[in-house]
Amino acid sequence: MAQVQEFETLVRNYQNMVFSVAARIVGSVADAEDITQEVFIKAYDRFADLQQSQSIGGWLKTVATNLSINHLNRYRARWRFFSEQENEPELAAPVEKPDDRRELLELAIHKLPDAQRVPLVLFHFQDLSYDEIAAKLGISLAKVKTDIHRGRETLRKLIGNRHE
Amino acid sequence: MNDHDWLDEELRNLPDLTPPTNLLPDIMKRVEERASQPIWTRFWREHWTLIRNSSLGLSMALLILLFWLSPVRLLSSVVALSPALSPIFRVTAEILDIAVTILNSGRVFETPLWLVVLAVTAASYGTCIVAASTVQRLAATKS
Repeated sequence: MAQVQEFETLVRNYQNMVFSVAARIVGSVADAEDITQEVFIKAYDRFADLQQSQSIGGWLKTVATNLSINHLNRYRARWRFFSEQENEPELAAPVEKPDDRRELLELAIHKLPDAQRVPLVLFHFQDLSYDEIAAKLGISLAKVKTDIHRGRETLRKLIGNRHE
Repeated sequence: MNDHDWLDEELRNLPDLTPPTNLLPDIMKRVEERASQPIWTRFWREHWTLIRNSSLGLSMALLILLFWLSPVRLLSSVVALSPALSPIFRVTAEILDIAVTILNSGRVFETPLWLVVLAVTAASYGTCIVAASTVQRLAATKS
């Protein structure tokens, strides 16, 4: 039972990070919850090894990223997931006006289409290089650069006018 | 400060999200369920890849050994060691020996029977994989 208590401490320490990784990649709180649970169940199965490891955080982040990408690949048609999107995303969609600036940015990230949000999150939050993102998502380097650029443009359009 | 710098700064300073309050209890509930399972169930679950690969390797090794060694000769030494079990070993050895003889000598359209059996087994396995994959893909597309 002591092991379970130690594991609970680990969950408390890392749940925000794991949930954030999943939520930002899949863009859905409900799916992110499921993925976070799966990540920690996997961690529990390997808890003995992880306790010896110096990089539990890195391991959890990698597993959360991989499970989130697998989730998107599995539940959304691939052609739609990373297809070239000629149409601009719906910028005129009603954006709630939260007081908090960070909340606004978070909301804007969630509103990005998958094709832009996933590479952008991997680049800015997971610190992966363009090459690593291309390999992880199975798309070309040029597409990664284009999608991240478009994602940033979209973010600036969504929140740029509030930027002082 | 230009837009790119500003956006980079904002993204860099974005804090982690706060998960719903039910997340921790949900995780711990599942963990406690797993912790209360019998040790052999946990071993099976935690090392199932190792078990699967070991079983596959062992099966292949046994199959190969079956063709290279005579089961009767192989088991006769065991029979000698444990007379009480001799009828069981003797029957098993005879059955295996007959199987090896049939596989080696039988031919289907000039092709050795063991090769035909191997091909049919591989084809069945492949068909099962393709069928399961197709069903999963259809279910995912539908959902």
